[in-house]
Amino acid sequence: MPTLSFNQKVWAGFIVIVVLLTISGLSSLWNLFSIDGSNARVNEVAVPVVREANQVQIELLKLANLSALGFNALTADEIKPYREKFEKGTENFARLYEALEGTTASAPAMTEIVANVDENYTAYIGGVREMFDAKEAVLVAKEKADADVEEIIELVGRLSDAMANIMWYESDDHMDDMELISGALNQAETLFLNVIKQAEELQRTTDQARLETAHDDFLFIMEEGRRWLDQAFVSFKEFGPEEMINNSNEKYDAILAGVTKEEGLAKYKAEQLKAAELARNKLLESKDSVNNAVEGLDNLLASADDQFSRLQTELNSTLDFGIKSAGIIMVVLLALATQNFNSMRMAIRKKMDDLAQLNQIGGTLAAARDQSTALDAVLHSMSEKVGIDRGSVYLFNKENQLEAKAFMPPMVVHKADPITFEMGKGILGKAAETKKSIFVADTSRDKGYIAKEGETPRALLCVPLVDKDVLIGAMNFSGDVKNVAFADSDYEFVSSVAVSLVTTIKNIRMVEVIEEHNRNLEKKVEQRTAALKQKNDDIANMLSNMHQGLFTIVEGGQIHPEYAAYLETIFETKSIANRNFTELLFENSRLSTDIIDSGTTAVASIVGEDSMMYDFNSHLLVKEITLQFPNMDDKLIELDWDPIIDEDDVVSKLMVTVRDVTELKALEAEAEGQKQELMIIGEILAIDGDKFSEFVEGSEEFVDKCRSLIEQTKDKNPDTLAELFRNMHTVKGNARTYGFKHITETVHEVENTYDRLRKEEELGWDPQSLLGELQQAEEAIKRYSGIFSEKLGRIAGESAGPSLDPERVHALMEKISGLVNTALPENVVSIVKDTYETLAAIEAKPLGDVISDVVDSVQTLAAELGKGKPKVQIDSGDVLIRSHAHNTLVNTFMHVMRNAVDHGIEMPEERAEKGKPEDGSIKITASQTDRLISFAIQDDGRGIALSKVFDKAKQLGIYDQDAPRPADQDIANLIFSSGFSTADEVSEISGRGVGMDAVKDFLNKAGGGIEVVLDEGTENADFRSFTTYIHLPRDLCLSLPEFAIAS
Amino acid sequence: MAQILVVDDSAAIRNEVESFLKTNNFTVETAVDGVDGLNKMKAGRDTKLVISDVNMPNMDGLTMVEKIRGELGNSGVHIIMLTTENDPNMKNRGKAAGVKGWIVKPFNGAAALGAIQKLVSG
Repeated sequence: MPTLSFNQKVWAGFIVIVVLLTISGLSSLWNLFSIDGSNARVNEVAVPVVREANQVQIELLKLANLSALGFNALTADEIKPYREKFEKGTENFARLYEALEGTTASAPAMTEIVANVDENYTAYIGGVREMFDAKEAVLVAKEKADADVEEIIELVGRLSDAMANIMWYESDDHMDDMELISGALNQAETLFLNVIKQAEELQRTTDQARLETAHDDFLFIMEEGRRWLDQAFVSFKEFGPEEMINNSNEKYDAILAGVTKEEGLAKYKAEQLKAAELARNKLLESKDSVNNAVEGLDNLLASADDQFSRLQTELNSTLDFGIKSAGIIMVVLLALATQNFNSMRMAIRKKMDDLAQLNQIGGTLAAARDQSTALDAVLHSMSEKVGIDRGSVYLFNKENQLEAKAFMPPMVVHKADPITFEMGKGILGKAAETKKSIFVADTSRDKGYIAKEGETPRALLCVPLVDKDVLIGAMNFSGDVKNVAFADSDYEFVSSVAVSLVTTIKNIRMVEVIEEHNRNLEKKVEQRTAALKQKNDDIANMLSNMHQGLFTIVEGGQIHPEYAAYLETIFETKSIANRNFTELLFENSRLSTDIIDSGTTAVASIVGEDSMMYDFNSHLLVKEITLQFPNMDDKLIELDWDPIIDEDDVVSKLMVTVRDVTELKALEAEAEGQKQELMIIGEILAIDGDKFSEFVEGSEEFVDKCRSLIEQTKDKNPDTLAELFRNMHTVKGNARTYGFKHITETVHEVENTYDRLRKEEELGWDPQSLLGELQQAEEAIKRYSGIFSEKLGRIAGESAGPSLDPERVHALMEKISGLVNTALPENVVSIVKDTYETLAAIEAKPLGDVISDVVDSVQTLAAELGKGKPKVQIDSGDVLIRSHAHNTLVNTFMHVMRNAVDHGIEMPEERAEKGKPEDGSIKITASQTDRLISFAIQDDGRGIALSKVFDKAKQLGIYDQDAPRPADQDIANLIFSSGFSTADEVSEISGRGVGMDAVKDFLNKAGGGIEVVLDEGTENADFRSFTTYIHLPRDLCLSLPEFAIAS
Repeated sequence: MAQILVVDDSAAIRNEVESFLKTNNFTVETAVDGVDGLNKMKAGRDTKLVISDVNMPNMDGLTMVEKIRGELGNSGVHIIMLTTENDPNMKNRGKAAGVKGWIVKPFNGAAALGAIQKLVSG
């Protein structure tokens, strides 16, 4: 061998290396192909299997879902789409399955599994299809059954109508029959309604046994019904229209056919139940099948997985082979590749680990409830990761310095001596300032580090905590230089942790703020609740103590549970809350149903409606009730209603105030009674005691007269009635003169009765009731005299003044009259005259005194009538009238003068027109004859209304309708006929046309008389003036003796 | 066209309500049943208020109200029903048709006057 130079040797070695490299390269290439092949095989076989098996599984599960939905469908229409989708699904499945079959053909183990899946799948589909069929059958049967029931209801309705027509048939002659018929038909109707009930029951039932007896049950009812119908029709046929009976029978037959037909409700129901059973079973079966199929596919997936692993192993071994054959350089190349691969893998693994750890930290932070837990968690995880052994977290404190808040390992720091650092100082300061993390691998080498004395070199990591560019704190970690491993990728990790921490800190702070807020709110709520409770207590107190029954009615008519306790006392019950108000208020009342109904309706139409409805309907709300409770007096209750209106102008509630006014009313009645008494006392005091006694005596006389008249008269008698009337009229007139209201009113009623009896023919003679009425009048009079004697301490009939012996007086008067024959000096004459008058006054008075009250009374009357007060001039000379004639005169003058004012004297306007002075005038003069004393009364009014009197006479039948007009004086005399009045209105004030005949009667009885004499004038005039003459027997009067004056 | 239309099949009620309203210076027109009322509403668009009975022959009150609102498209006129009963279904139907209020008979003019004045002017 030639010796090679060093260079040549190098070159040869180099060429050898190159050759070796090429060989190894080639062999590597070949191995790569192999690897590639295996790879391809993996991709071709295992991966598709997995993919397709997954798809098949998914499709299968979809089908299972559809079958479940189909099973639960309620109607035939609902189930159809599910079935369609299901069928489509099976087509999809078939396709996917074929693909899977193809893919797994190469692996015998898989083929077996796939075949097994197919078996189960076929069984499953078969089962589902049968289930769908059965389900459809169920639904169809159900629909038929429903339709059948509807039909039955319709038919029964028609029969009811037909029967109703019969029941409402009107036949006056056969009312009893109709009652019976209606009864029978009602019974039948009840039975037929049962048919409907039965049908509905069947529709709902799931009991097979029930269905079997359905047919017989129906027949039974129909037969019963038929019997009632026959019973009714047998009677009805006698008088009623045949078509009605036929109509009903038709309808009956229709129902009978309906419930007994073969293809009927029961059959459908039975079918329905059977099919439902079948469907259920099929579904269960198919569930099993599908589960098996799914299991099979899982197995397939497992086997595919196996294959994958096997192929993977093949690949590895190929790799091995490649390494062995390539030699050292291959080893080197592979090592490099693996190294790369490894580092890539490691990087990815690290990334994944990082992520896992970040997740974990995130989890811990999220769970951290307070700041220190969060900080500790972060420190902990950082130490694990980066290999640091010491750490701390700084946050801004109140003085705005960064203060260390957490330590690892934990350290106790005194509050007074916090550890802080300044911005910009040291590594931590710089990190905080720049807001960027800084890692110093060895502090001894970094100038920026503020070292402490004697400190060993450490590795340092400073991480600022930043929230949206605002620094909120910083983390500081340090460890042994040898232990700390901080890679570039770790910056990312650390930043993520920092962000999480910042978020957590923010959240925790927010939570604290919210909790503080909540605590404040809770406090406020407590305060409000306490205040509210206080208010409620106050209201409850008021409600339980007030003496009015207050309650509210809410929508629906119920009584709100908060009501005043007094209500329970008023209504004698504790059951009030939530009751219907109608019950409570009206249950014990005496109101008519009509009022109760409209009251209830009114409330219902007001509560919950616009406030306008209250305005419209409030008048129907009951204001007063009388309550009756057993063993108790009646209670009188008053109700006040008030609407409670909300901001939408709607009446949300009706408030009712209930007051027990029984006592109040009783007191009012008592007060009224006392008031009346006071009034009467006032009336009595207003007049002279004597006059009062006279009045009472006279009135009682009249009442007695009336009583005996009534008792003695058997039948209605015009004369009796006339006298009764006159008597009462007189009493009334007197009572009115003296202003005895109560007597006036009572007597007026009695007078009215007599008047009506006289005027209305149909009214019968009822002595009992007349006496009763008279009793009332008597009681009225007695009331007055009672008060007079009890309260005023006087007795009617006694005179007020000192009592003188009338005989002595009389004797004295006789003596004085004897003096007429003696001539006396003038002054003596006047003394004697006065003495005589004074003595006489005890038992006789001048006319003026006697009728003074009458004059007052007519003046009042004139005022009441709107006429001027008449001037009354009395010129009676020396005539004195004895006491026992007073009543008669008063009565008489009363009638005459009141007539004059009422009818004679005109209204001021008319008088003015006639040129008369505004006020009328009445002139009374006296004259004497041997036997009589006569008083002439004349007024300056329009006189007697002769034409009207004549018309009235014709009306009363005194003259015929076509009779000629008699002489005026005759007409004038007619006013003394009973039943006469020319006033158009009959009232308390005006005379009743009996005035004059009553007067005439009196006077005649007293021995006197009365006449009306027309003044000079034209015959046949409408009005003529006149003078009334009242005659009294002389012995009723006393004239002053004429004394002779001595010259 | 009058301010107020009163619809009721009872002449007595028509007269009572009409005279009360006229006394209070409202212009009033009357109708005897739903058909009549509807025709009168067709003729005049100025009516502010309709007071109508419910139970009437030929066309009842609620149907008339529904037609006034629907066919005639008149949603502005206020409508109050007079009734003797308190059926909630009737009330609901009325509410749906836009009835403003219900007066339970007998008609108490004095109490309702204020509300009627408000409705006619507003």
